Amino acid sequence: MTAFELMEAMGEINGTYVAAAQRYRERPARRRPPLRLLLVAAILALLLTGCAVVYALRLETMKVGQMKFPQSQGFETLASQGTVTLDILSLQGIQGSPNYNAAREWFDFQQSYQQQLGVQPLTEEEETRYISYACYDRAMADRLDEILAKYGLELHGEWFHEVDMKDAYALLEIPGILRTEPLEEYSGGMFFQDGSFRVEGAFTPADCPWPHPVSFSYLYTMKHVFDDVFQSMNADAVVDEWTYQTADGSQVLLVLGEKRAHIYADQTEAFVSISITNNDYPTPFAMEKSELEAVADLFDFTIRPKPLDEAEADTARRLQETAIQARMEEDPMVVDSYGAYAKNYLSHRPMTEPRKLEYAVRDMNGDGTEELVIFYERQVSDIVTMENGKTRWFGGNGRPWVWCEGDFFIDRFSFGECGEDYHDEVIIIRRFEGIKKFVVRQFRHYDSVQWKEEDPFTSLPIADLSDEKIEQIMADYPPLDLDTLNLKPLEALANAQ
Amino acid sequence: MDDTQIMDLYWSRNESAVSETAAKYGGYCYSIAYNILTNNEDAEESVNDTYLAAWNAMPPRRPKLLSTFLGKITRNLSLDRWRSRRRDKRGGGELPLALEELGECASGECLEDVYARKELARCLNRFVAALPEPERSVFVCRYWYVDSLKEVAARFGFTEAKTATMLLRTRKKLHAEFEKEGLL
Repeated sequence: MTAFELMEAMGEINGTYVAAAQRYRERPARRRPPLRLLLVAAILALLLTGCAVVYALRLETMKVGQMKFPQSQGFETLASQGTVTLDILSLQGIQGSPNYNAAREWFDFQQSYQQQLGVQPLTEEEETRYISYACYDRAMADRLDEILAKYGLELHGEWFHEVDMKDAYALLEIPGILRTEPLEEYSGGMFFQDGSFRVEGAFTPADCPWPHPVSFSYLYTMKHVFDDVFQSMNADAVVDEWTYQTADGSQVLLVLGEKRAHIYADQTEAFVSISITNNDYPTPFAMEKSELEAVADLFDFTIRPKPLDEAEADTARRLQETAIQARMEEDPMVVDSYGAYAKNYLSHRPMTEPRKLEYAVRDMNGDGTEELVIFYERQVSDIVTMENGKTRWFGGNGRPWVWCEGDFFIDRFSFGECGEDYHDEVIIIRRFEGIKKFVVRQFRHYDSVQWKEEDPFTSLPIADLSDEKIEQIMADYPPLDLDTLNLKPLEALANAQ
Repeated sequence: MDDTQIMDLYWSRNESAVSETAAKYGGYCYSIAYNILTNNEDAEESVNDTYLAAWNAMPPRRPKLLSTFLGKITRNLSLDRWRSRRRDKRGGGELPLALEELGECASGECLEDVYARKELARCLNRFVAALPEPERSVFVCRYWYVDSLKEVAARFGFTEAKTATMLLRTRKKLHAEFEKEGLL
């Protein structure tokens, strides 16, 4: 089949999946899912010898709680066919360990937490500090800090996510994650300054009882830091679990399920979790126990990554910046002038009548740099600025905005949430600070019956408003007289390039 | 107005069905069309054609999910419009990029007949049904809604690298599934 035929065939998939995806599309982009569920990983049973307390690592001793999710099955069924219960497992330690206890308290908090009006968003510095956590307001950050202080754990340090993993391994001073040299394809990875790292990839083992390519998701988490990535496992799943000593002498726990296998190593300084998926997807896994043991033997459980010192972190930053720059240089919309931007903008829109596209340049935020504002039929379509000599897009979202006096922008649209029985009209009034846009006021016409003003951060309703009141508020934001902007054809800007 | 009431308007041939549909789903359909066509005028045309198609389809149709019913119409119309008007393979927007990615899963040769197309759709449905979340919704957002990688990453709270990785793995699995089913 051709790619286009495949694209057309996508149109025939079950509408419930389309509707489910729409829920994600309607989320505010700044938020993350409240809980990040890992691909399944194996659990390692590790007996600590010579210690006063002996921990036995099993699935049961890693469980921090449960979650229930609706489960839809079949092509024609629209309503959920009941729920599936997932066991949520810590990937940092077992019952009794500080890592486990911290994970359990954080999980319990996340399950019960509801944003309240007046909760403070994180500052930019805080967003960087908590970037690798499902933490998006001050209340959550405060609670996380309390838990970490209680159990003597640290936050992850800086992370690097665009560096080639071969360079990452060199900085971490490890040869890699495999003992031998089968072909290893790096699909992607990331690492932290504290020495923790994650990598996903695939390799084809040579001379291995398992005859298929191995697709894996690998997490190495240092125990002096807290990591809030959990594992989920169907509570009703029937799995085999057993301890195994690998070829390098490490004790691991192997777990074999219907569709995935897992390998865990609970070490003194770190916790390793590896999930293996079967490339003969979606048929059942069909891996034998001896085959999983053979795959486990391929991994090197003796590696001890080293946290990065400042010089090495600086090297990682430079490598990351180089990778980002290379990616940006491939982006035709990252160019060194507004004329070049206009030219590429038009070339990517061959079906748009050029006469409908106009532009103005204006310093939107008083920083001394004039922004390029592109209009489609006299409504704002895109806003672009110059940063470090390159264009950077920062405004517009596919719906035209009305530019109002005082440099406010009104985005007014209607939608009905898929599968729900209500219809809302939404008005969002935005303005910019620098290149960041923020919501000044936000209104929603609930079910076409009642206007409510919503808190811009939480979207919780804060006041009921009459239709007349809404009209009065909108009158406070009169549209800008565009004649004052001296709009010109975008084509002229492109041709001047 | 809820979907049942809107569909009742179609069935009673009340023309306010179209305005109610526009009010509730106009933005949704527009976003689908714009992702594919990348200009406001063509997107609006697709959305208007969607209303006409919906008027002609109901009755006798009475879809269970009005939103996806309309969305599918818009998507198909937009794809047809894109294909008939594109001047070269590398047109603007996300659709050419998405097609290039899906090309990894395809053979490059046209399917021979309607039966083959139906078999492809059935296979794809089974594949998507078996995907876990969030991989499934990421895949649908990219190749059904034709959202950009940046948009998909932002909505799911992932980095772009992670999103690209996830899509790559899903495409590889899809390719393997097609091979297994003899569709390649």
